[in-house]
Amino acid sequence: MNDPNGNVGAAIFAASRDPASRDGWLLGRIGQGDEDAMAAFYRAHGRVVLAQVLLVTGERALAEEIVQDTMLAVWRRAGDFRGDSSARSWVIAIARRQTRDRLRGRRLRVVDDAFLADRPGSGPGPEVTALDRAELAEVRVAIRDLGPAHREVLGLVFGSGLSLPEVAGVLEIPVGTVKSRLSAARAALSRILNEKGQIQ
Amino acid sequence: MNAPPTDTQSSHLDLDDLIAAANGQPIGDAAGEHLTGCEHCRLEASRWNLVADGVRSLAAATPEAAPPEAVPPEAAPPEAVPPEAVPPEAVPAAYPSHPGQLRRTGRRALARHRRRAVLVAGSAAAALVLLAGVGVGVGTWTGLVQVDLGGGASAEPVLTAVSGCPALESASGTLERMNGSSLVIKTPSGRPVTVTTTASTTASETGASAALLADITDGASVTVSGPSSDGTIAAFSVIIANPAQQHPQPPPGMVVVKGTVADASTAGFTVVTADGTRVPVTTSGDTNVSVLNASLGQFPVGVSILALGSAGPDGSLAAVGVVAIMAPPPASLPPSLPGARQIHVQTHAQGRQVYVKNCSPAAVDEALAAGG
Repeated sequence: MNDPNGNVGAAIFAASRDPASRDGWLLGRIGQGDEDAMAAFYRAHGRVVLAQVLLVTGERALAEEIVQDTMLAVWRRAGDFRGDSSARSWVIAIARRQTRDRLRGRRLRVVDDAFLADRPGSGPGPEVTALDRAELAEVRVAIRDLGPAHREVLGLVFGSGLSLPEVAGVLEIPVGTVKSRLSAARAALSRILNEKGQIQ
Repeated sequence: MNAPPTDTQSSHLDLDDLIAAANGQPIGDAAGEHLTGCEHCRLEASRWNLVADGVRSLAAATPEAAPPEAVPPEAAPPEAVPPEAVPPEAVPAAYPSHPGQLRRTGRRALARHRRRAVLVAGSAAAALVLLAGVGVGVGTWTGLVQVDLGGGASAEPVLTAVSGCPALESASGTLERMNGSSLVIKTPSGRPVTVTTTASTTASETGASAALLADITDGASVTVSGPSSDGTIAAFSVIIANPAQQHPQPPPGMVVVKGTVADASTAGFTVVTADGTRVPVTTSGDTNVSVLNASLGQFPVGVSILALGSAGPDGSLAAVGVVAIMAPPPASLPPSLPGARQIHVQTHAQGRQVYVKNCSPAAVDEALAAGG
């Protein structure tokens, strides 16, 4: 760690560590009531968690509420972190539970959605050509039209930077199911692109 | 990779490899070679890349959360935070143990943290500079964003570690044309991407090219790295105009010296250090030169471009940094230079460098957020 000025704060000290040891250290400090550590943890993960929750819920205000709840849960339960998973997957798992609780309160059919999400896609077919010809802006729009479970798995894999085993841990499903859900999500995305007629 | 299908002699990348590639993570040599030569897998990789780019661009467009003061306290269900779940001894002053106050005060505390983070991240991002060149001692010379410049069968520069970082988007391809202050690049998949720039966008050039060697002129501020023999450095890397760069201990057999160029010639130059020491430096066609603070107008059509910034709703990229790869670094660079085939992006915040030990997306994110 190069710190020629020697006066950097806790955040930079934390940043000097590799993410795993940094997060473990931060959570240890949070468990002791260290607010600066909480702030550093928030800086490290808050935006990613918000992006993931927003991707799933599609509602900004709700997503913010969930992130707030999640960070308060981190504050309260930092001592529970055992380092068996990465801190990011741990906090995202907390956020997912918070999200599930909120959505369940709205009586959304989360279970059905997850069931449908794991159904095998139709495999390579004409619709994959939609992705071959799609523009990024079109894909962005189409992703928003996916079901929550599909948005969730795509966000975890590509937005949150979690490994497939970590995603499996967060979703509490086998890695193989993560893969099938990913493939199903992509197939659904292609179908949406085709159905929207955005690809000629 | 999958086992070869029974009906063909070829095998294809499995989903793990395709996802890893889309996330900018390394895949095995065999998988990489296969990807280079297999049109089917390249197409599959391109599809997954597009999906990944779509997700990331959505994440990048996620603004910071609003200050909690704007969130009505009553919007939170009281039962969401059971007071008994909070051990009083673990609650600091900002989190009073009074059950009725806990949630609201907690929000305020988090808001304070978040506002601080927003300010810091903003200053860091605004001062983002591209440092292109040969990294020295990656364990201590801590790049934040790595760009694999290819090598082997692939000559395409591929941004490898910024993927997944919600704070940054990337675009790479060849320069097709300049449109005023915008660059239009053609990505490897053939899509045109407009990269917009502003006065604060940093531009740099890198590569082992005679044109860049010619930029080493008397009076230029340089940082030179390479092996030393009899007091003369055979430059592997020369970085121009980077006087603020800090340098750690170089790897064994290598030295790093910083100063001002004197006696520049086609064969080398002399570095005059701050204490007046004169260090002779030799250069060759293999010397990788990086020019920071380059002019976008100098970029020739057809050059490989890497740009980092934030994605606009129209699919353009508002760049905070653009780098032109004038020529790939020579393969002869010694493996003792971990950064020999990488480009590093470093953030500066409030005039102070931010260091992160590895180049993971999380590290980039952390550095941008914790910049001050």
